[in-house]
Amino acid sequence: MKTIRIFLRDLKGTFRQFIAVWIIVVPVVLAFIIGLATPGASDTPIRIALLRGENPAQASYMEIYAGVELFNDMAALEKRVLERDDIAAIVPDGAGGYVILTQGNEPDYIISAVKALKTYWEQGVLADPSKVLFHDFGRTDPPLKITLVTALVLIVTVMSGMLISINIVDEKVDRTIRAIRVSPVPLTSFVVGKSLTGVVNSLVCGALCVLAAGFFGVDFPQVLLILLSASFISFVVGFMAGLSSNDFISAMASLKLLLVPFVASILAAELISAGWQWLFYWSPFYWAYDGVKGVLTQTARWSTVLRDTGLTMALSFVAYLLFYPGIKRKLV
Amino acid sequence: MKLLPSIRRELTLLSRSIYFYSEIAVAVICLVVLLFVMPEHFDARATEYAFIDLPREQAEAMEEALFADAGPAEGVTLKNRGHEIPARLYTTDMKYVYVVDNRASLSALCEDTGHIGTLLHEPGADPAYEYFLQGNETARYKEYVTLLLSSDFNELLDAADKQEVRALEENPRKLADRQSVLPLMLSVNCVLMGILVTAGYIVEDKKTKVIKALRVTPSRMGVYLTAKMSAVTLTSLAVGLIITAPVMGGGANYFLLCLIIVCGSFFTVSIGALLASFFEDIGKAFTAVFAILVVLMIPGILSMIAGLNAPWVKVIPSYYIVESVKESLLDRDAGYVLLCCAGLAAGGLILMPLSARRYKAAGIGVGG
Repeated sequence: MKTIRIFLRDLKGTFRQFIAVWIIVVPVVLAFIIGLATPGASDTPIRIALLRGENPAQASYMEIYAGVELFNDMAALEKRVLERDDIAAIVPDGAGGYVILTQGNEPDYIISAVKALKTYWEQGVLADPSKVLFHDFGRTDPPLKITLVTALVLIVTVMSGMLISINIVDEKVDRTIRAIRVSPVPLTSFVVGKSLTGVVNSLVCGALCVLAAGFFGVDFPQVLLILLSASFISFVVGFMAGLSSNDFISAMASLKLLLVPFVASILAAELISAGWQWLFYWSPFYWAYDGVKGVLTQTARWSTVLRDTGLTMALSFVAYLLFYPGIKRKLV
Repeated sequence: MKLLPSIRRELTLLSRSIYFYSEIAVAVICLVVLLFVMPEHFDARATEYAFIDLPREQAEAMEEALFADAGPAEGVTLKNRGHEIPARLYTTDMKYVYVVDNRASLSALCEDTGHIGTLLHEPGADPAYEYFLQGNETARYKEYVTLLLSSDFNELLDAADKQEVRALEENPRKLADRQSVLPLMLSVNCVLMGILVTAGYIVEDKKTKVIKALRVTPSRMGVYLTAKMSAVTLTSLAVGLIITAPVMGGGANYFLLCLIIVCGSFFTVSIGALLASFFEDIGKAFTAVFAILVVLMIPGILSMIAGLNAPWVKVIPSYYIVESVKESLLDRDAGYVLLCCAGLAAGGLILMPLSARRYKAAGIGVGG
């Protein structure tokens, strides 16, 4: 009860300051912007630059199957082709035909797709809707939006961990922790009570981000469960970094070290082939990312959510058990 | 002229702190992950499922023809909803295709994994193909898929192969997959984190009344801030080089890289110093830092998404840091990098005097 009372008092004090509300509002606004701004991904992989008015029939044909951008002159078109994304151009070759113009570093599949589309246009092939029947599972959120919101939710988790550690260090610098030793409140209750603000921030802010980005069709009990396990990471991370540091800079140092497994886990989940994913199974961030992404893509079943939640909490707890003896020695 | 001794003093203090060693440790861990854990080339092949709805012999013949270039199939067992599904895995240049033996398995796998599935009927039938998508695919994507399946592509293959392709750049350099992580890593770890560290340093100095003590010394606030910021920037520079040199070897333009790290750090630490001037305790300062850091991280995250061109991201200043780091690593557009450096330095030069004025005028931190 003492822990809860400390938490409630801390929460009340925190929300009196406008800036504390900001910490929740900014990620939520960002999630809202991501929801609006991310394109309908899984679009055709082909984007083609054409000269405006040069061949309207060709442009109309291409627009059915590819993203087409029109340019008034060759200079503007070439400038666009040289930008960082993969776009090819189809321009007159000066001999009555057309040539494909590329930057030169596009993946082979892009070049093959543009070649195929240009060939189909030259041969006058049209799509025959009777040939293909499409089914779908009603999941309308684009993959890019899912990846960005998943990363945002986990960033909120880590930042909440930082908030916890900074709160603890702040109490150390103010010598409140020393004062607590002579009060009837156990030190652990005080520290845990102070840390719960970060946990609640992670949970509330994460859930609001999911809603603000427009994920209304997801299974909300699953979302809350996986966010709870993710907030457990923020609690452990913040708790360890806060207790092991005596000043803000040491806390920053500890947190930067903890950011390495965080970033590595997300990169591994997104970029490394399935055969090498096991290298990151030790990281609670990996399972939290897997869990949040599974829930947002609506491919997660309760069995996978419970697995991800359980592993996230268990691995965080193991990390806590491994590091706590050293931290305790420091505290004493 | 007290700037150099002040910077030297800050560097000495920094080298005695745990922060410095943790920075070096982070750099070494990043390096080990990049060199020994992360593959040189990421596997970008997509996973797909397929089922050929034909009598067994015909299905086998079609499967053989479809995957003639993929080499022999690998027999695998997929686990789904507590069931074991036997499948044959074909690995092509662009895809991993699992061929299963019934429609129910195909549908369940597509639903639970989020991957695409294709069901093939007899050639010439209407429909000849059924596609299992997720629901986020655009009408244009469906039109494109329908077009590809509306004629015999093999007949058009010769004509497609003969299409002339002209490249605007003769030998464009591209970062290897492993190297492509560096712009994100360097911009976040070496540049953006400067906001957090600087704000932490200054607020700590406020708490411990170091800033108050400055008022009774001949040292100026501008010199104090510059020394702090220089120490953080130089540490970032060292960390950046520790990570970059072994991964890029001699292929990067290190002069430009150092310049963008220094200018980018100058800009971010100036933001950190300005933010710290508004707050008396680190908890409040952190909330502001947190909000700004989240926004500044977006261009780095987006840079990892291949082929994405999001014009709106250009309004975030860290976009120019990420892009300049990339250009420096590729030793490509020096003019662009120099322009970005000038812009970031100008931003820092505007912010830093503002911070100094705030600390000086209001005696912020003095009251404690």
